[in-house]
Formats: sequence, structure tokens, C-alpha cells
Amino acid sequence: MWDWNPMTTEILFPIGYNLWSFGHMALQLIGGVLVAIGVPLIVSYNLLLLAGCWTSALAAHALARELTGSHLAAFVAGTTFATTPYLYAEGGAGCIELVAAGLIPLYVFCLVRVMRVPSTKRFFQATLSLAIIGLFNWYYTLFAGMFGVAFLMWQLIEIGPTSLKRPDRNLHRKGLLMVVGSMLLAAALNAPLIAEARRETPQRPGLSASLFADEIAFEEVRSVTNGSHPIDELNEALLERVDAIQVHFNSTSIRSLLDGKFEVNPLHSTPGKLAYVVGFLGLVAAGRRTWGWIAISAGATLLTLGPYLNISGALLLSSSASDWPLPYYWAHEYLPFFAKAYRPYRIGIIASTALSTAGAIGAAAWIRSSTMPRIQPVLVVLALVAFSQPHWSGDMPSQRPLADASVQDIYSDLAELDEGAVIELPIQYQPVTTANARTQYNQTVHRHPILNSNQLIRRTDLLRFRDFVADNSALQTFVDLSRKDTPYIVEPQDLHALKKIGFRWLVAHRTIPEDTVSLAGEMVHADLLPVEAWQLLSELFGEPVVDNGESVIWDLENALSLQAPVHIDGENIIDLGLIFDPVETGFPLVLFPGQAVSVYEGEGERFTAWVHTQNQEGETTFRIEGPGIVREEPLPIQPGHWQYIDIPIDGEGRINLKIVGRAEGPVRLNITQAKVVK
Amino acid sequence: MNLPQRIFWGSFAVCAWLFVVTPSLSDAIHRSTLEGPEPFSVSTVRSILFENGDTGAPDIDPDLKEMLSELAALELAENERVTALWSLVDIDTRTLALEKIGAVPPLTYAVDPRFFDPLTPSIVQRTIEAYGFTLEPLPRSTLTQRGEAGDQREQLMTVLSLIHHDLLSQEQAAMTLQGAMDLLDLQMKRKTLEERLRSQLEDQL
Repeated sequence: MWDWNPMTTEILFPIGYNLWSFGHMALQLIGGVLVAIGVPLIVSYNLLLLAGCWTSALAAHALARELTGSHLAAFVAGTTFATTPYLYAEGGAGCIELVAAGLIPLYVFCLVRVMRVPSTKRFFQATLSLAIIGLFNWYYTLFAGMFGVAFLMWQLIEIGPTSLKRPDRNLHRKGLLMVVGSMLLAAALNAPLIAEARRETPQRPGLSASLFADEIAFEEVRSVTNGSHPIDELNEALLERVDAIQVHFNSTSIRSLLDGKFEVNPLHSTPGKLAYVVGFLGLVAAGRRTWGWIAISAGATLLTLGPYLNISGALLLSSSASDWPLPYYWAHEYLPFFAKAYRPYRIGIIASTALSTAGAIGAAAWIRSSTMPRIQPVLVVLALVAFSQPHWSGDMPSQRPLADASVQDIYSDLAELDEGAVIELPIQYQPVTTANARTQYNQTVHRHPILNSNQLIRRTDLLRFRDFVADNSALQTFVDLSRKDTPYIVEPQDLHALKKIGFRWLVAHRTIPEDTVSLAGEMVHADLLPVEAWQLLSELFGEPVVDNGESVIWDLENALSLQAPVHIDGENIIDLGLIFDPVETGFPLVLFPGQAVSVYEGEGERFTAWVHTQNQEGETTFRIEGPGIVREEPLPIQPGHWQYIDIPIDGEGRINLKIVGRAEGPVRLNITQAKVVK
Repeated sequence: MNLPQRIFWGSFAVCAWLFVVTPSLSDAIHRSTLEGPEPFSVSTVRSILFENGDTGAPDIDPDLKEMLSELAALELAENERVTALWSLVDIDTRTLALEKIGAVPPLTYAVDPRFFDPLTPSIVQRTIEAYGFTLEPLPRSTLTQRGEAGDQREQLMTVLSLIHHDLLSQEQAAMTLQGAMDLLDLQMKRKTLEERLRSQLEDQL
């Protein structure tokens, strides 16, 4: 049976999450239908992603075909629009609703048709095409509206406001009225959804130039966005600062526009060099006929720069940058609804539409010219350059590894266990790592409700989550457990409270696949539980009910017999603070054959760390030297994974711990959280 | 102009823009981002204090005085380590490395807030990459130098070139790694000290 209730407690259990997403409704519906008729989840996702690219190309082609009457000329627009770095970056970031960018040229196509031959049929086509964008993407609704207003102004200027009353301008007057009417009707059709849009994107804070140039504020905001800020210290004011600074982070820079290359991070993406070249050549070839399109692309490009000019793309603005607010600033502060589009770089899609169309108009001029050679060879070169860009431009997205669609075995084991909600450790309140991003995908296998979610982006949801976890000493400790300093204190009554709510299982990992596609920089360490955390979990829950060597599952019921608080002070643990810790310094540890590096001298019972290498097990060994003892054993390593190691020292008195390279060539080892338990 | 001429000159402008103007502008912007704030030096701080003193002789707080002498000691120690690293090889090898500086790839740790300057961590990282992680004490330098920033930068770039072009023996590489780590340690101490000094001097400057 279909359940139409948008609230679910399958994630963020038990506080729940509203799945009714204003910007994704249409895609949710299409995806839901695909899955319901039996198309596998991954296939459905990939189909939607590819369909986003195809429909973008087709819509840009249709717009240019309408304007030029030539499929060959329209090929320029379709190719340029569908190969902009913006679409690839959004696709790579999983924002398939943004890849469905063809809705914008589709709407412009309808506008052009209304202006050329106004009719009731075309009026309704324009209205519907604008209204339907709201179901796919809130940003694109706003952008289409912006395009509509710019298009109206352009037409007014071209016709001449004073000559509008002339009888021979009757068709133009009708066209303009129909465009305005279609926009108003589309807005009315979308009106019932405005409440949902407001809920989803709460009131945006005002822009603050000093905030964008303040190093302390920047560090504070960064600690929230990478999920390391103590959750109990999150508050409305701080989260408003986080929201406000997003406008700056999501603005492009002069350097990004100049480079115009393919970027992994969509925040740095632009319409791309090719789009600007095609638009410019269109202007050169067709002259006056492209002016309107070029003016729109110039205006949209200016808006992508955000509220203040950022030349280099530096994370912090210079204090003088705020002296000269850009047009985006005024629009954000004074135009209704504009502040909802708080990611200026996305306005680049308007520029891409206009540039690719201008290019097509130029191509049509070429085709019509009797003095120019055939255009087909040029189109072949354009297609080769455009579609090969991901292979050689910038971050070369085509070289990135495909995401691994397999699910770790532990989740199949979890599926076999009794009912009960699950807590994955560590709990993260921001989508900082791949492991965190996959929690909901893993749920498709184990089917238990989970507390974890990668959807705590909006501050209203995050504050609800904070209120829930801050009331419980266990949950508060489990949040960001991998980066949290001791002491850890968990009260027995809080564990009972968790059980009463419906929690039953806790999952933690000793092996984590390397983060080859990092979401927020190199953040994999946010997943790596240190020895103190393992001590805590062991004290709380005893022996795991499932331990497959890579991951463990504990039963919360095992902790219900605790009478006193569990307290881990970490005083018997020495943090080795290694110089070659990739988290601290970024330095690697490279060992040539026979080379050894001393990591600790003193007394100790166990050595623990997280290690990562591409080399095989046995090529790196751990050497223990002490009074009457010299022992060397291979580091238990799984290539391509971060592995938690816990090695008993088994020696008396002062010992010397070394890591030794035993491969035939150099071995490269990443090692973090290196600690000795005394 | 007719269409073929417009297309020709338009294509010419595009080529000039793509292959000449854009790379040089982008590079110039990138270079400007690499210039961090001017490091403090004892003489700079003293001269500022003298400028601000009403009587011509600055009334220096004892804590500040201690910090300044600590800063001076750190600067001296850094100079010594830089010279020791640079003078580890004979003059012919140094000259060869200096000539090949242009072939050294861009610095790894440019604009990394964790470090004081991008050169020393880049030396540590590239020594580990090229020679593995082995340490040998780097003997104290018997040479003296004025310790001007420009000299130090060139000397450290020479060291980086020695590493990149594989001009060090295994033993020299181990000494270089130890020397660079000593230098990094001194720089981190200076970074902390300068942050303290900056906050203390904020009102006086």
C-alpha cells in the first residue's frame, strides 16, 4: 500500500523528518514510480541523472531550433548547454534535480513562441512550463521567473515603449500581455506550495560583509559545517551565521570564471569556457540579433559573483571587498523571495542558456551565409571538444571512480536481528563523510529505523535534533565520538530511556573504505573511532552480538544492567601525536625496504591506531623491542581501507615501538589516532 | 567587415583570450593569494614601538620584552637551521640545484593555515616521499648569515631542488628531514608567539 504521509520516522528516529520536499517532488514521484514498478534503486537513480542531461540538451536544442529554424544551428545550443561544467558538478554531487536544468530553456522556448505568435494554446504552454518547474526545483522556478522578467524588459526595449500603442504593434502587445499573464497564473498555480517552500527554507538571515571577512566567525562556521562543533553549543544565532556565510561560499569568483574548468566541487562551477566562447562567437557572427541573449548572460554572470567581489576565490573576503556590494547584494536584501536563492553560482544556468542560444544564432548566420564554408566540420569539432571536456578539463570528472554500490555485510547481519531502531557510531550531524552519506542507502538492506541522517542541512531540523540528543548523555557522547576528547560519561538511566523509545542496536566499524570521493575535503577521520571510544562501548555494551571482523553490532539491552555511570577519562592513554599523521600535518609515512621509524619509547600494554595503505598485508610490520623481547609482526591491513589496529605489546618495562617497511619497494602508510594504552 | 572576416578576428580574439590572457590573469591572481601577512620581526616590532613612544624611548611592558627576546632567539635558531640545511652539500651541488629551481613543482602546502610558510612542510613531505622516513641529526652550521627573508627563501628553495632532483645521499636526506622538522618546530613556536604578540600589540599598533 502507498503511504502518502510525508512524515517518516525511518530516519531521525524517533523525532522524524518531513520528506515532502518542495524542490524535489516531481523527481521523487518519477523515482518512486520507477522503483514501484520494479526498476532497481541504483538503475532508477542513474536513469534520472542521464535523463536530466538528455532533456537539458533537447530543451536547449528546441529553443534554438525555434529561433533559427535550423537543426544544425540548434545542435550548437544543445551541445553547449548539456556539457557545461555546472551540470557535471551538480551531477557528481548527487543533485539530480539540478541536472534537470532543461526546464529553463524549455520555459524560454515557450516564452519565445508566445511572443512570436500569441495564442491561447501557447499561453497555457508557457504557464504550465513555468508552473511545473516548481515541482522540480525551487531555484529554477526563481531563475525562470528572472529570465521571464529580463525577457520582458528586452522585448519592451526592442519594441520601444512609446511605440507600443501603435496599431501595427498589436501582436507585440498581445504577446507581452500573455507573457505577463502566464507568469502571474503560474505563480497562482504554485501558491499552495509556498507554505511548503517557507517551511523548507526558513527565513534567510541578512548579508553581513564583516561576517565574510572575519576569521574567527569563519572558523566557527567551518566547525559547524564539518560537524565538529559541540552539538549542545549549537543555537539559532550561530546557525543563522552558518546560513548567512553560505551565500559567500556559494558565490563564484573572477578566477573561477577565468578558468571556467570542470570542478568536482559544484560551488566552484561556472558556465565554463566553452559556453563563453560559443556565446562570444555567436555575437561576432550574428551581431545585433544576439544582443538580448548576451545582455542576459552578462547580467546572470554578474549575479553569480554573489554579494561582494571575490577575485581569487579565497574563503575569506578582504575587508575592502565589502565596500562595493554587487547587484546580488541588493537583490538578496530587497527583492521578495530572491534570498531563497542563496547559492549565487547556480544563476550560471541562466547564463548558460543565453550563451548557448546566442551561439546557435551565430551558427545560423554562418549557415545562411553564402561566403562561409559548410558548418558540419565545425560542429563535429565542437561536439568532440564539448563531450571530451570531462576527460581533460580541470578536475577531470570522468576520471573519478564510480561509487561502490555494494553494502557492507554487517547490514545483512543487522537485517536478521529483531526489531528495534539503530544508532550508527559515530553520530554526525552534518553530511561530512561518505560513510555518513550512505547510512540511508544501507537502510535499504537492513530495514531498521535509524537515528542517523544526512539530511540535517536546514537549521530547523538540526535544532530539533540537538534538542533530542542533548537531553541524553549517551547520545550526546555518541555525537562526533571520533573527534571528541575524553572524559566520556554515560548515565545508566539514559540508556534505559533509549530502550524505552525503541532503540535496540548500535553499529560501529573497524574497517572503513577509503574516501576516494571526499564530500567535504579529507574528512574520513570523522568516522574513525579512537581507542577511548572502543573502551567506552565495550564498558557499556560488553561483547558485541555480531562481530564479523570489520564491523560490530551491540545490543542495547546488554547495558540495561548497569547501575552506575560509565566514565572513561582516557588518563591511561598516550596520544603519540605523530608528525606523519595525515589529519594533523598531511605528511605521509613512506618507508623504503628495511627502513624503520620509531613511534614510541616507554611503557605500554597496547598500541592502537587507524592505518591506511594501498600495499598488501605483510609489506609493513610492527616491531617491538624491549628487555628480552624483539618481535616483529605484520600490520593487519586491508589495502584501500582504513583499518583499526589494536596490537598487544606483551612486553615488560621500557619498550621501543617501530614501524618497518618490508616490501620490495617503498610502502606508503597513512596512520592517525596513534595511541598507546598503558 | 563581412562574416568570414568577423569569424576570423573573433576566433583570433578567442585564442588570445584562452591561451594568453586567461592563463596569465589566473596565474597572477593565484600568485597574489600566496602572499600571506608579513611575518613579524623583532626589528619591525621595535621600530613600531619606538614610533608610538611619546618620549622617543618606548615604555615596553616586561612581558612584551620577554616575548621579543624569545622571538629574536627563535629567528636566530631558524637562521641557523636554514643555513645548516643549505650547506649540507658541497658548493657545486648547491649551484646545480640552484640552476634547476625552475623545474621544482609548485609547493604542496601553499596557503595552508596549519603552517607558517609553505616551504618547510613541502621539504619535509618531499623528503619523505623521495627518500623514505629516516632521521639523522643535522649538525649545527658553522656558517653565519644575515638571515634576510629573501636569502632564506632562496636557500630553502635550493634544498627543495636538491630533493626534487635526487641530489642527496641517503644519509644527507635523513639529515635534511631532521633539519626540516627542527625548523618546522621552531616556526610553529614562532607562529604561536607571533599570534600572542599580535593580540598584545593590537592596541599599540
